[in-house]
Amino acid sequence: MNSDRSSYGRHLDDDAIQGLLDAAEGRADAETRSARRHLADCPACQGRVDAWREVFGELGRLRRFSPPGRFAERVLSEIDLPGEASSSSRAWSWVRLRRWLTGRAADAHLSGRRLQALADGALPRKRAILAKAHVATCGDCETRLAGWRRLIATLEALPSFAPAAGFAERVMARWREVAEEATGRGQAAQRWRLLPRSPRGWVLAGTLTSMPVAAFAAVAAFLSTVPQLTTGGLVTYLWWQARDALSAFGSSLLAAVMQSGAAFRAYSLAEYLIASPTTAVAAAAGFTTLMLSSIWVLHRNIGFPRFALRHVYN
Amino acid sequence: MSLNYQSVEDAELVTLAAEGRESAYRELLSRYERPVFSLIYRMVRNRTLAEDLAQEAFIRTFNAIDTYNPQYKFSSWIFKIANNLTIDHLRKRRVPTVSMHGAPDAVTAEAQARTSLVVRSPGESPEEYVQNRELAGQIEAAIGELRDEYRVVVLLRHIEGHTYDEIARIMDIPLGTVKTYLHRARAELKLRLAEA
Repeated sequence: MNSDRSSYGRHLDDDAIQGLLDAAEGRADAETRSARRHLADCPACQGRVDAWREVFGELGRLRRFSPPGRFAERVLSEIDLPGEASSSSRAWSWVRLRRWLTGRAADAHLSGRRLQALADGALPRKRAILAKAHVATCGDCETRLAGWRRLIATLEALPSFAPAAGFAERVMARWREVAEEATGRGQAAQRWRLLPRSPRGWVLAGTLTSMPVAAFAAVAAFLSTVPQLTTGGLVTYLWWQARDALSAFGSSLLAAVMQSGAAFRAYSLAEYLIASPTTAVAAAAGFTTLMLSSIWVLHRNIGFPRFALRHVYN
Repeated sequence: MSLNYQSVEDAELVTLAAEGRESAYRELLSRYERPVFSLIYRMVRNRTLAEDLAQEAFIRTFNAIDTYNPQYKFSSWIFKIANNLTIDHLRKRRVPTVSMHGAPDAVTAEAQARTSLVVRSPGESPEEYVQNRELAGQIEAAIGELRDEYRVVVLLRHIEGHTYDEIARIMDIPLGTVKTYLHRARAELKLRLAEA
């Protein structure tokens, strides 16, 4: 250490000289300014500063060494980039394992599939970064990538074709026809839905319908063999029977109504409504609303064709 | 108040169409007539047939509008219907490939002109038209020689701009298969263009 004093004051030590040289280009503080003042008058320190300057110069002229090829690629493959899914990390572990197993070098050329995906913007972020890092240092892959990019650009520049004029009108017209046909088919299907749909069904339906016809025919055949019976007599007999049955049904219905008190309640209700016109009007309105609602529900669910177009403009 | 259908999203248009608004159907038709026709045309390579198939695709879509699932894009749905229809047609009846320069059986100049595909972008100069026609001719011919499935994925990806996921949904195939098809299709195209 140079700690001796001279007529120019205390000599500069090595730290002070190095600090002085480091600060040569920068902003000088009070200590540096003091050191410079001393240096201007001290030949001994000037000589030491020159020696140090030479060392600094040698250090500054040292060569920069480039990292080995695919250095960035290898570094990136070892780090987890933010935003990557865990599945992607697993995938990369698998990629590294496969490389280790197959002995494939990390800086091998990119496959055509990967280059296509890169050109198409379909590679996941991490793989895209790695692929781009490789392409940046590999002329062969760069050329191949440019080829894929040209192909994709050519495809994407292809024009679209328009159908002939009036296509939309034709589609709409045809759609209406199809809707009407479907509606017609639906109504026809509704109409004939009770008919059998197979030969077996037709046989069964035929048997069922022919049974009462056969029974009637058998009775008629038997009656025709009795000589006392005439057609007029038979008709008169059946008419009497029908009239008696109807009369008995009417009598029993009337008796049931009278016994249940429904007629009395209906009469009381009518009397009450006639006595209060407001109630009568409200009842009439309610009844009308109920009827209209019922008709609307029936119209929507039964009468409205399923495929019919409803022309609602705007 | 009149509704401006052009500014309405597809999903909303479908809802309006399902309510029976004919204008909503017309707007959907106007938006998709060109892309749907284009896809089918490049598949079957016959304008009349393509129009028939596109018309059928729209009718099927409109008739089933009540069954549309808004979870997916309408474009995916209509392309799926159009694609299924076209693939079914191609499987039932193998369509002969038509060259950009006319049908194979077109022997006269008039027949060649009638059956040739003319591709022209709007606003280009006559020189560009000639160059583009030539370029488009090569690539169109190369596309036409691809397998049906490869052709569909290429068209859906690079002409219609669908994502890989959407293509998988449209074609009802796994995502990995879409990637494989695309890779092979582009490799074939590149090879054919290099040979041309």
